[in-house]
Amino acid sequence: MSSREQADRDRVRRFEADVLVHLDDLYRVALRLTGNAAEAEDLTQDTCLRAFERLDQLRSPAAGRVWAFTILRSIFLRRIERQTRAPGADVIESPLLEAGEVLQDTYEALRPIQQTPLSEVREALDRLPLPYREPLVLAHVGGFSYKEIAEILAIPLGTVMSRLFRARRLLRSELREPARRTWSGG
Amino acid sequence: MTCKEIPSVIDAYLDGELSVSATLEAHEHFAACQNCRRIVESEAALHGLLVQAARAEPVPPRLRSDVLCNLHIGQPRFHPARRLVARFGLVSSFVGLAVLAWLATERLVPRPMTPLAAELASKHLLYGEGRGGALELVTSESAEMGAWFQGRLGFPVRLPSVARRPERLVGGRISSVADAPAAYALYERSGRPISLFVTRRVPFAQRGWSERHVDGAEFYVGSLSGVVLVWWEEKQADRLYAAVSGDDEEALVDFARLCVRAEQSRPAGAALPVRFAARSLAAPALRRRRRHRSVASRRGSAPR
Repeated sequence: MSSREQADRDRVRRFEADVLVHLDDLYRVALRLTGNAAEAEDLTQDTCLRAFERLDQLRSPAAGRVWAFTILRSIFLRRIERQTRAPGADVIESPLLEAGEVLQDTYEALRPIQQTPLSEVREALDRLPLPYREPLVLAHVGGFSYKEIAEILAIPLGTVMSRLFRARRLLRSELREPARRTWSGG
Repeated sequence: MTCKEIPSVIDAYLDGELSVSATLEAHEHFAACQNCRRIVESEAALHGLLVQAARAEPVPPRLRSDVLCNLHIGQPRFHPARRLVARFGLVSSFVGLAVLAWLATERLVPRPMTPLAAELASKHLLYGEGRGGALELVTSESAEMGAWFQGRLGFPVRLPSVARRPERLVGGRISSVADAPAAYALYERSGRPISLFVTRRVPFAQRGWSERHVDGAEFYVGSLSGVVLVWWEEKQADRLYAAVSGDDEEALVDFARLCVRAEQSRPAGAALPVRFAARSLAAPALRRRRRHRSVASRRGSAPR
């Protein structure tokens, strides 16, 4: 085996250990960002291809996870920017949560949330504006810490916290709607 | 910790972002306060649902092997040189060396591949070899396929009529080329897949390919890992078309000409001038042979 071939093999092995090990989560995050299995697969493929091309930029294996998701988000944003109609590129019309703002929901009025079908949760998640959906998906699907989410999204830590807080409130409202419709219909 | 403080820390508590002491304080409060405990349980249920909803999504079983398969095609060849250049540090040196490196690779070293070729070949193997498994719409009607693309992409995609041809339209899907949205149509000829991509023009895409002029059209042709690629541009509409297959080059160029004729047969007033082209990504010897063969039909190509 030539030294070139050996180098290629080593490179693929490193890619598998540092990046490809996160493939399932990359696909699942891509799926929740695009809302479409075919596009998610395409986005994951492109992310892996680019990560492999730029593997030399990855300084430490421990940073591979955040690095791969940063690439995925970068490609995703470029795509929706280039699309004439970008369904995910919502504009935030309401202001972000102010410091000190507290929960106003009356939890007693909510139906037991555990009974919500998972398909309904996914649909509600897909309807969230992108700035809220991104940190929520990274936190719950990717399992990232606030600090890592701030790094991936390139936003301050405080913004991550306020967006997550508001995202969950919006999601609660979305999940509550079907129940309200049922009650009013009955 | 008091009931008033709980709402502002509840997310951090459930996300494991509170300090150890604050977590203990919150924990003690939940143990003592039934109302706050109900709130945290409700929030925890939402957190749990989100994780479940995501984890329950199946990951395509072929995804990993597809990624690994495509890596070998997309492997960069010039990274060591780029790294060497980057180490010089000073901006002026960097710019100067980059220009020299570019000149050297363009004029002296035959580029074995380009990112565009690698991407097109990868996606052809991914979507085409699956025999329609990755398609979003399966149809043999060109008009239906074109309308579906236009509805999804927002720009017209005119596909060739293959009624009296050996090719058969199988279907299509939305894809991407160079990070831009792209229409992907899959054809079949004698059981072999042909991929047709339609996307926006890619800057500097011609570098590294060789040109062929056929019937006044300019194509860029090449081959990579046993896959033949032909692409051409429609400048006025800012479109790039690319056909990819495992067939021989002549058969693919013939299919490309069919696509060009379909584009030129647009309704009066909508016709757009087209400029087409092609570059060999194959071995230098093969490229020389091809240049020699097509010398009579070439026009104004610069000597290498």
